Amino acid sequence: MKKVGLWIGIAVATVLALPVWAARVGEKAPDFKATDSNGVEHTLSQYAGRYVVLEWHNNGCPYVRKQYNSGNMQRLQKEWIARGVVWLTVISSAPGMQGYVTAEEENVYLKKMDASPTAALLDPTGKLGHLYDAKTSPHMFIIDPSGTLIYDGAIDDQPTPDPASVAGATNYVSQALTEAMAGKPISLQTSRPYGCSVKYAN
Amino acid sequence: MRLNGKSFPSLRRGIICAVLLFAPRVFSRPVETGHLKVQLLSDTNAVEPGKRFWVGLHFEMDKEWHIYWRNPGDSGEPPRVQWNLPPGFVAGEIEWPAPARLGSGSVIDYGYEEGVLLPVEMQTAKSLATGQRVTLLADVSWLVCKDICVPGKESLKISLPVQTTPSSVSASHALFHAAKSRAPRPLPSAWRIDAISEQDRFVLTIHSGGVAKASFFPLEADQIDNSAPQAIAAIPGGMRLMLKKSDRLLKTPATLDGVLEVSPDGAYAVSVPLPSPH
Repeated sequence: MKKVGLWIGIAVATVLALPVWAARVGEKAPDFKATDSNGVEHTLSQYAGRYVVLEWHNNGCPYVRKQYNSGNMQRLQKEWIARGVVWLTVISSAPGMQGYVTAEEENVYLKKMDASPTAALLDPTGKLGHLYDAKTSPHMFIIDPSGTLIYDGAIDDQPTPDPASVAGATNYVSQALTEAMAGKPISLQTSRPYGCSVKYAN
Repeated sequence: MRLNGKSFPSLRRGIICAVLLFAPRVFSRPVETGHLKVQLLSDTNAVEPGKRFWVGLHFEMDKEWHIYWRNPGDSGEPPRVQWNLPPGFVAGEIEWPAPARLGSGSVIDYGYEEGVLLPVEMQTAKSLATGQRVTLLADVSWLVCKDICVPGKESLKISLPVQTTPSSVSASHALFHAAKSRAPRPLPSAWRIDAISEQDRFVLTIHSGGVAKASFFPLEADQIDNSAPQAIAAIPGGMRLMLKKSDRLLKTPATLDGVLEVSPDGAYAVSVPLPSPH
């Protein structure tokens, strides 16, 4: 009898552990709690009233390196943070997988690349990645001040690791933020998030 | 980037070079880069003025490495080719063989493991002098992945003699034959497919006379959730295939276009109209 109760308990816990809702454009973005590379905890709800950008990251992925080696991602972070946006880089690589970093390694990387997101969230269990169903690096999400997901997709219209493609690309994140801040409808709310697969634990 | 350890022993290379001197160059020298080997092949040993013939990009991947289909799925990108052809030659699109479902968990891709030939039909120029050779150049780029991804690019070329009589098939013919047998075919005339759009899923009703293992590969990104299992239900005279919609799909498309893989029958190219939403 005791055993049956245990199994029911495990079954209920398993069901509860499944994401209750996915992140879907036009709907409320799921709240989360995650720790950054300085040991500081961040929740989505603490940033209510501001725009929040989530950037899935893997420093070994050729598509991410295209953005960082060209300085494009760093420029975006600086530009939008200066305009009041909260920019959270998220690393969901599992230990042993490409892109996995310790807190210290991430801080060294940020300094070396002159990257200045609001915070770099370490998500080695993939909990935050799975909550948003992040597929690739870079996969970008934008949440508006009311907590609604307003963009889910690629960083730009150039799905290639070729560094030459950065110049002249239409950046979908900048486009959506510019339109949203101007009170205009967002012309592209979703796109295929191109890049390397997020290196979740198997 | 890890470089491939494979290389021809010099004796074999010598023999191959000797053979190349006497044989028409109907294949490009294979180029080995990290994790794959790529070669431009011709299905025939010569070209005829004004006729069509097949060439193909032959990729051979290292064990467990893969390249991608035209819709790569959740990650990755398909190989691309830019042709530089003699005047009057026109290259068709890549005729993509049916892909395999790759990956696990929440990130599922569509592509090819081990090796694949991507055939392209070439239209030759009408006015071509016999006795001359024509050279076709292909700038090819790709992404090859295992647990990590490595982009690559290479310039390939083949040179073919021009003749007015039909050409013999090349040594690569079996590869072309295999690739074409994996090309999606039109649906059998006795079959019919309908689709409806529900809240969170599309339901394909396949009137095929029976139930089989079936899976759908979408041509367009972000129509269906690639990682969601595709459930099959038996119905009288056929089956239903349930396809979860992508979270990024905001508007019901006019058609669901893709490849329906039915085992053991084969792969079919389908374009199924969806009733417009009310």
